[in-house]
Amino acid sequence: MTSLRRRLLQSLWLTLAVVGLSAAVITYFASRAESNSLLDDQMQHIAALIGAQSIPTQPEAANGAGRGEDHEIEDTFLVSIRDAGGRLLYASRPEIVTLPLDGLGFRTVNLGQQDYRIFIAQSGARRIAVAQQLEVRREADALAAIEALAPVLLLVPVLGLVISLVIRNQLRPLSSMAQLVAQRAPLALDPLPVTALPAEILPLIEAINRLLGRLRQANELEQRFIADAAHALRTPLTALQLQADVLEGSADPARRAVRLAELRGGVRRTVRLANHLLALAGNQNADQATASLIMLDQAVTEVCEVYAPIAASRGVTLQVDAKSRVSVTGSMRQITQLVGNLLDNALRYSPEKASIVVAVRCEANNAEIEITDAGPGLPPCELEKVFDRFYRAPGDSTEGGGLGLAVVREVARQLGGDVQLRNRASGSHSSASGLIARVSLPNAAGISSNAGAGKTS
Amino acid sequence: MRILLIEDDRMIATSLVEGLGDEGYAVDWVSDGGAAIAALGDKQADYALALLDWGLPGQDGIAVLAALRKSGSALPVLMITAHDSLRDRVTGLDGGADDYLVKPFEFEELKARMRSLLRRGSGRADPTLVHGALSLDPAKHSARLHDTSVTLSAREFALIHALMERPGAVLSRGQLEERLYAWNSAVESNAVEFIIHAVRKKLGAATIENVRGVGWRIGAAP
Repeated sequence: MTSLRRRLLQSLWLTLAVVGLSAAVITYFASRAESNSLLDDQMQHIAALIGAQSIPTQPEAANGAGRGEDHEIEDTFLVSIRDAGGRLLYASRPEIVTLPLDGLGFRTVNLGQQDYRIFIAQSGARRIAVAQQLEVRREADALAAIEALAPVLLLVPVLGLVISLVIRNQLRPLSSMAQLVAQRAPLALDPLPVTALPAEILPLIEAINRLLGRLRQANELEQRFIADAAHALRTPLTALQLQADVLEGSADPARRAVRLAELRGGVRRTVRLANHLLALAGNQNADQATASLIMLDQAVTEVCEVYAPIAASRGVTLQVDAKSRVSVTGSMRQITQLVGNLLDNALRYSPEKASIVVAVRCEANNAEIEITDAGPGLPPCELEKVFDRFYRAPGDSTEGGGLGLAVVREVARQLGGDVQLRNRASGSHSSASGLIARVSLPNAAGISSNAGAGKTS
Repeated sequence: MRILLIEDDRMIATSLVEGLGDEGYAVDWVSDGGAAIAALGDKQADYALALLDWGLPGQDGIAVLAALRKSGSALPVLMITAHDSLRDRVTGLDGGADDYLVKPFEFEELKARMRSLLRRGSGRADPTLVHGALSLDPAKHSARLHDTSVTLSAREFALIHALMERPGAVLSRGQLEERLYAWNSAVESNAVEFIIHAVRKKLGAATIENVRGVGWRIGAAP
């Protein structure tokens, strides 16, 4: 896992180390050079001072003079003065008697075991040599360099500490947000607080809040569906419970048979409700996985063949008019649900000896299924409402769970289409009543031809 | 004992009509609010109890209840409904229901609650009806005379129960028919006499006393 804080610290610390080190190195060498030139200046200065004084003119006489008075200079600088003839007029220490005097300016010479930096100046007739042990000079240089380095070396860790404190402080909103999120209840979907957030984090938190909002909405829908489903299950379960209780209490075989048939009817109804709930719960992924090109006319005819005996047992004729060859993309299960539920409704509301017409047509870019029943139809204000989940039209005493049409609409929409209801006699004075359900689905292939005649089953 | 069942689900209603019929109740069934209000307004019907579903097409159960209570009726009402939230139950009970049963329920519990309401409705706390040496247990549908149990059919039990509930009160043939038969049952003209005859045979001729031209009442305590 990458930690923003760790990475910031690492890169800043590294930068600081590199900058600090470079500064140290530069300071070190710069101050050494400075110290070096300072010492050179001193030597020139001493030479100038000596040149300005009218001291020893007698050779040897002054040898060793001034000792004890000028300890410091002696300790660091050696001075010898010679006249124009090369005679030694003065030597601050015996060992420097041999200080060479040829040439002017700075150079380094070896005297005995020691290296010396030497400065020779011409002052009138005299030649003045000022020398200093290189080792002493180096020590002084190093000391000066280290003194110059100290603030740099001290500043680097202090800066490092300050950086880490600042980073920690600035990232506090992030860590407190993380803590807040960690402490939330597992199902809490209310938005995170956006006050006092830095501008860089705000868009992230706002995006998270939008996501939480969508989750909350989805969650509410699901909760409502579950509550509705549980509620919807109560009625058939109550009927089952009572049917079983009443069956148990009847001794007469004939009555038991009747009551057993009622119980089975109750079980069938509960199973149908469960299937509807499953369809609505969105088994879409499975359907999308098995989606293929389906010849709608054949598929609808097949479903009608399954329903024909049920229709016949109620004295209702099922008429199939599937002349148009038209295909849709979907699964057979979806077509069965679509047509089956509409046929269920048509059969439920059609009187005896009525006929239900199922037509499959190809209209423009749409494949259409139209199912016309001979029932009482619906008041215009109910035509849309009946698609609502668990909705039952007032006065409807048939035993539906109020989900059949919701399933039809759900499946039609899954297939990329929709379903509408209208009354058969709307606008005309025709005595024929009935409801027309029209399902429009996108035509997958667009092949349309009139082959074969409608058949009646 | 005649009761009104107000329930829009055909399967539930059918089972209740049959199951309660087996228990000797005469059950009239209506499936919407309007019909319920009309049935409850029928003074002839003399219902002992109403079973009321909340969710009804047209006017819902609460509206039916409000109309009933507004008319001044003290009829015991047992709400049977899938609405199970605390607020719903409080609304139901405060709306004038005497008891509240959430779907799905066991038939046994419904019957027990009905008996309890009927008992309270007739001003009794003791579940057993006693008249001298004769006692009836509505829960078990059993009758005892001088500590011997007597087997009665559902209708016979319902008849003696109706008479014992208000000792001294005379019930006419019409009133007894109302209590024993639901709307759609075909009642033979002498059905009540037939049942009275059967009861007298089992419990003694003096159990039921005929008040000429008016009807019948429970006889002197055996």
